[in-house]
Amino acid sequence: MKKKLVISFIALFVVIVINFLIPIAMEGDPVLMLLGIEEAEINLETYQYYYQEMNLHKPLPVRFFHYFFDTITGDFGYSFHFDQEISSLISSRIPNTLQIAIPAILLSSILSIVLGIPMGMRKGKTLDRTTSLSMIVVDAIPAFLLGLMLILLFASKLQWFPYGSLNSTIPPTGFFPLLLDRLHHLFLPILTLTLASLPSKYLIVRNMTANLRCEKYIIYARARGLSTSRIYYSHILKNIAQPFVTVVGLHVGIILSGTLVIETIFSIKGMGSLISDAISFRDFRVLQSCLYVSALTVVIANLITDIVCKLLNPKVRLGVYDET
Amino acid sequence: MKHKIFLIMGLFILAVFTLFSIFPQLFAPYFPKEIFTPWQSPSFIHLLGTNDMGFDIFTEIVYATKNTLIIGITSALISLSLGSIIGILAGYTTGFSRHFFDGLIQVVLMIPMLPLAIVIAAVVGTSPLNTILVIALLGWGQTAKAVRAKTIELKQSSFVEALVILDISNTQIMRKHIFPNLLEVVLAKYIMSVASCIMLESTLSFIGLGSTVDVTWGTMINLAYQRGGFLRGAYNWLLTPGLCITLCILAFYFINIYFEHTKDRVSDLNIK
Repeated sequence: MKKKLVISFIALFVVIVINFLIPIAMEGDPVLMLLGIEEAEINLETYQYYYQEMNLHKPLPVRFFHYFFDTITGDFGYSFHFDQEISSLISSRIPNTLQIAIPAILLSSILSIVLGIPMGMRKGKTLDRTTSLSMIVVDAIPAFLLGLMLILLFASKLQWFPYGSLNSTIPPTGFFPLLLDRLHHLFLPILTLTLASLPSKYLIVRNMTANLRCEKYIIYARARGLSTSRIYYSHILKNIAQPFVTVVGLHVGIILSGTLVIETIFSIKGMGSLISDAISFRDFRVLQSCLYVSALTVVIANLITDIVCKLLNPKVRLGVYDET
Repeated sequence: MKHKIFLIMGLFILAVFTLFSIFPQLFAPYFPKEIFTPWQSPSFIHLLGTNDMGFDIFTEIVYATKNTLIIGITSALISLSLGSIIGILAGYTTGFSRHFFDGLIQVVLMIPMLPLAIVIAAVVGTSPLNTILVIALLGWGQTAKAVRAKTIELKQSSFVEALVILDISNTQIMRKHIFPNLLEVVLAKYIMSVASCIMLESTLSFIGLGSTVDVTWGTMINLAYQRGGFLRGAYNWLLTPGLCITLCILAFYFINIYFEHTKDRVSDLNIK
């Protein structure tokens, strides 16, 4: 646990160092490069402001010191293109990203267990082979293509769901109509993200279950006449819970990468569309801040998974067994 | 026997794409950048229709194969070499260097790859070489982790112990005795690594960070999406490059299934 914390801090530090070194490695005027603007677009006063804000008149080590403390206190500076503080820009976008990321994480985890355990128990049978093969095929489809295909099918051909965005252009009044409207809009992006992250989790659950199915306690549980679902969710699930939670934690980063692309396709104003806007503006400071925030998210997710893993272990939870 | 079908299917798909990339002129009905009437729907004259500039889409796909495969294969190769070297060092050495390389692997695995790749690709600019380097330098974590685990396992085996007793130098043990035993792990990782490199390349290209000169399948989808292929219903332009990416990745997955199955069978035989 202590080692994991150290590694997490080093990872964040490395991200900050990379962010700091990038403008130094770039050719040309650092202010113009970082803001992604032409010389004609900016007046002297604004230029001076940014020059001061980035501490460019100070020596390199001092600059790093300032950059480091600004970043860890969440002060990313002011964005020229978005005309907003970058930190408030990002914090206004994060809720929208979480709205599709969290349901997708939960759904894909639940589905991978519900599908993976029964398929692992009948590994090698026709049903397992078809399910696993179709999962592998889905896994081979890039997330953006999956999104485009779902839009074409459900929004364009069948017209069951809207093309994108979070609400209708004229949102309905009242809490429940508003909620239904939101769910209607979020269905396709969540489905895309769930499908994109399901196969790898499913295959892991299936393989772990397949390895467990010949264990003696499973055979005894069978012999005692326990119901199949009791064996699945009480015997097997308990034994694969710890590695499974670790995998879910590791996949937060992958889900995050998935949202980057999917938000652009479904025109949801979240972190992902912020990144693609920043790319088209060449606004490096926004890109760097987004990188830092996503690294921070992954680190926090990893730490939470570690704590959950510890709590799942009854030896630790009940304090029977001292881990050291 | 049943698993051989996967190997044959995978190799068949790869063979077709390899032929596409070596002899594009044999398969492509037209020259690249040859201009026809834009926005034609698929017909016998233009198998997949034409795009907004009037290029034949099938020809473009055939010519894009080479770029996509080269980026995938070379970046996987570089990241594989990096990963094996760092993995061996983290698994075999002791003291400071062990902690250093161990930490390096864990730090790299912790940093979310796509945002970092986006930031670096946005800075260094878009050329195939840059894309290869960005993917290679970020993607070695998983390989290193697998190699490290296998090295630790090998280090405890009796033949390595015997070599240590014989006073063979560590460098030689790592190079001549441990590395050959890692080939199985490394090759299995390579197959999956090519697939994930192609996936990452297509994602970067789709976001608009791919090379615009050397067109890949990802760039084609990006252009189709940006230039209104979606609104005009030119699904042939939008989806066929994606289908090619999927088939290509699937081919590597299939080959991997076959090898994993044979590996299982070999280890079953050893136990019995």
